[in-house]
Amino acid sequence: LEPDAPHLERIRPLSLHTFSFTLPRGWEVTAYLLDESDGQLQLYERKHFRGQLVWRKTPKPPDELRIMNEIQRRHLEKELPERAKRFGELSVRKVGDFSFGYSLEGEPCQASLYQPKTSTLVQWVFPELGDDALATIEPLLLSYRPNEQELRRWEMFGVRLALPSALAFTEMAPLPANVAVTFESKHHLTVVARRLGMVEETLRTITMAQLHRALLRQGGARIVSSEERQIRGCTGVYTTYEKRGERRLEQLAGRYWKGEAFLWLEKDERRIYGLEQVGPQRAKRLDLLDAFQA
Amino acid sequence: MRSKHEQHEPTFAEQLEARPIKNERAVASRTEDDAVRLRVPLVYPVWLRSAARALGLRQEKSFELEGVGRAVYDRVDGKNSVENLVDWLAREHGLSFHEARVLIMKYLQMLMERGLIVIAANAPRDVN
Repeated sequence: LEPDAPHLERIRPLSLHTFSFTLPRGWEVTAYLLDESDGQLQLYERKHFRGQLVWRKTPKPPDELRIMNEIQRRHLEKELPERAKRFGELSVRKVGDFSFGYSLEGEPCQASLYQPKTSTLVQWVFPELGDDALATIEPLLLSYRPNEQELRRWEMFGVRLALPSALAFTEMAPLPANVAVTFESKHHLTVVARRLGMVEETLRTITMAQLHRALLRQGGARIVSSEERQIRGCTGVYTTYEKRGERRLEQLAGRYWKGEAFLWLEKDERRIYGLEQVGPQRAKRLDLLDAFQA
Repeated sequence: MRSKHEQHEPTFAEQLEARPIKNERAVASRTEDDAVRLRVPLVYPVWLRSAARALGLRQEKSFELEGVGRAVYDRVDGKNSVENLVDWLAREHGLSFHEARVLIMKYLQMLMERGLIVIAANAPRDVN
């Protein structure tokens, strides 16, 4: 595959709760825990483990060097007990905003940064120090940008949005080549972003409109209307729907909330994108298509 | 013999090096709509076999494969590794490596559960 094919470029930006990076070409997230206060990602390039990104809320600024040394010591005690006895402490230098801790070639190296505004410690652990690895690690660390503004970037698995910070991440359902990310405000406005692959296979037996209705019904929606239209210059479908209120008295009253949804086909990328929002009448709606980042 | 708890969990690399093999007893025929119909003998437990024959219970089960499921099955030849299949699917459908890996593993699991293929793993490496 061309390394810069549009669908592969699309999965490189990574923006979560408080930080953004651009991943090296070929790196992919293979495991994740996305809790805002304590989360981690595991990254592989094909079958090779390339790194682990960990973030954790800490009320006070932590002693980053001590933490890095402790991680290194524990790794050596497990993998190279003889070397662990001789280990003193990591050498540290700055790479962009990160403190980069390293020891001998072939041993793990680490990068650490504390975000005082969000009280978040962000740490990378890479399996092996070496010239080739550094040529990849340094641009990755230099690509760091804080993500603490009112308009928050959310970029993962090719889904790319800019949402008001009032919308908090609630869950992600990454089926194979089919990702759905859900956000919710405290006024119960729910936004769902989708990215589907295997487009030819998916649309082999059904139309876009049928697919859209099926996706929405899976989430408990009652379809009100559906029309084909151009969305972001692509073939697409706009569907309005209703969903039973899921909060407190709404459940008892059996009131339905109104929702709208877009689904469109990006032919160059061979992906279907979708955006949905639903919530109580008083919850202020977004301009959904403005939230989508090309 | 290893106990259940000591079973070696295959790594990504080991999963990718494994080679799926077709069940030689599966008989394939093409359907009118270009799908593949596969018939495999049903194996009853020893204690049930004579009763199954006496009661005239079915002796084989059949499955139809179409689309990607069929294309994956067609490429299972004992030579293509899981990694080869992943690369093929990624190229064919514009997927990333790990998107394709998860899908291929899902298809292979489905084919295995139906008794249509087995996966020959290379000898596990020393994990100590």
